[in-house]
Amino acid sequence: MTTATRTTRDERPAIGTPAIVARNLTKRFGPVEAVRDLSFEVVPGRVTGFVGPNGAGKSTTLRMLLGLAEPDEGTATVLGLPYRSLERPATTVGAVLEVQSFHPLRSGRNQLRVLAAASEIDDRRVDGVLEIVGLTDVARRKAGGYSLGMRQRLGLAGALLGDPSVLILDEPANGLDPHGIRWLRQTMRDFAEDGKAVLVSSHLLSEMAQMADDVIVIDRGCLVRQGTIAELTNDGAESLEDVFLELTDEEGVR
Amino acid sequence: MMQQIRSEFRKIKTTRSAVALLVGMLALSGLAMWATVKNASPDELATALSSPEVLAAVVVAVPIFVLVLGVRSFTDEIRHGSIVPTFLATPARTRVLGAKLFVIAVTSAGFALAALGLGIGITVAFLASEGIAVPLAAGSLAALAGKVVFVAALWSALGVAIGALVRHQVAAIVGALAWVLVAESMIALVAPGAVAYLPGHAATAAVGMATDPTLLSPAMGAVVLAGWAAGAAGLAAAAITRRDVA
Repeated sequence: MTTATRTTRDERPAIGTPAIVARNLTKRFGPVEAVRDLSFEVVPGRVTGFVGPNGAGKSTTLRMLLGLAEPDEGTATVLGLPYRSLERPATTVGAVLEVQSFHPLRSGRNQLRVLAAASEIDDRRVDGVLEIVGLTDVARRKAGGYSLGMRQRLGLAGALLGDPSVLILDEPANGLDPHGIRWLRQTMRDFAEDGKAVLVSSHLLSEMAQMADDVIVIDRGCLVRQGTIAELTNDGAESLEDVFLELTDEEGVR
Repeated sequence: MMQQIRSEFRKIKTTRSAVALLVGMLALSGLAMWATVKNASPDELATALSSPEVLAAVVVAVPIFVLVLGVRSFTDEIRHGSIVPTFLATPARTRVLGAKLFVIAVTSAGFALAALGLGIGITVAFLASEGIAVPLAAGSLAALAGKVVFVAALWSALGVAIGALVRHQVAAIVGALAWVLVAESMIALVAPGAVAYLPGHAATAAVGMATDPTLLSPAMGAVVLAGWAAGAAGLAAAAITRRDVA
């Protein structure tokens, strides 16, 4: 694994070199194996969708990638390093995990200023990312009063603060209206076209078919398929939804 | 580490939680102080202004409020989920703990000084209204302030550690307060020999407030309290490093 020896952190990943590598990830919660021997790679320059039924282990996997949960077995690296070894992770990886991860009494702008201080990012960048996500007008209002869509945008603003080269987004389309979804799709597309990597989870398959270049399908903690959208859908002959249901619904019980 | 400290100061300054606690503490200790001066003879007050007994009302209130302030440092973040972005920005979680300990201790020192200032102000104002001029014993007042600040800082550190270990806000606050207000006095009944080494009694000894012979000496009390704070912080560091972030 050549990526494991990379030591430079801030540079963009070279095309072809995986930005994210999961190797044999396993995570147990008591007797339940939430993730089982899961391996995949995410390459830069493309949007990679991460799909699976509810409870398939998507969030648990993303949390292991981000150093929030410790795998029982296996390794996860971002640009060749485990997340918790990154010195200033905000400049490498931007992530949005939960919708509600803000103090309700703190303004959106102040949430970002708290994060900017922790990552040694200039405060001017805070207003910059607020502009990018379209929250400038409400930036000084308390985040507790934000709509779901506004919170998603605030989360994304936090992820973009450090101008990272990898984006990891867990269900970012939740709560967005059609304008918001189109905007999100374009944001991820621009990001990938800059030669950066995007890993985005969703259970909305029609959205995913429009957003992603590659797809990783997991079910019950295991990898089911990894490939391009075109490969999975036979160049569009089948819908991603049909393929997904075929791949994940063998027992028909959810 | 500096950037984590700046981040923690911003957290404190950008919500009103700390201010609300400060106001609550001042209201309560001001009221208790007023009751104290009303019930003491002016001569007693004038001679004993710098002694902890007169300022007991404020000295007692400070640790309780800074304990809650400390507990909430982690539990607020866990409750609202902001612990996730916090640990994403700083995956070296002990740095977050260190920054919280420092920032909460500094804030608690401010709480302690504000309470003492209020207590002294009320006493002086009361004496002035009785026509008694008070020579402020600056030296002994400063010594008292130093002790109260010291105890407040360690007490807030205990709170931070308890919050990190317990995680659930209500459980942590109720548990910590029950310990301070109830449990230690019950233990005193069962094991009078050991109780002097518990954090609440050690804090009382460290302030030099009571002449209770069963208490440790002020110096020993300070050492024991520091030991409790350090031990709790160590446990908290181990716990937050090892546990998954909910």
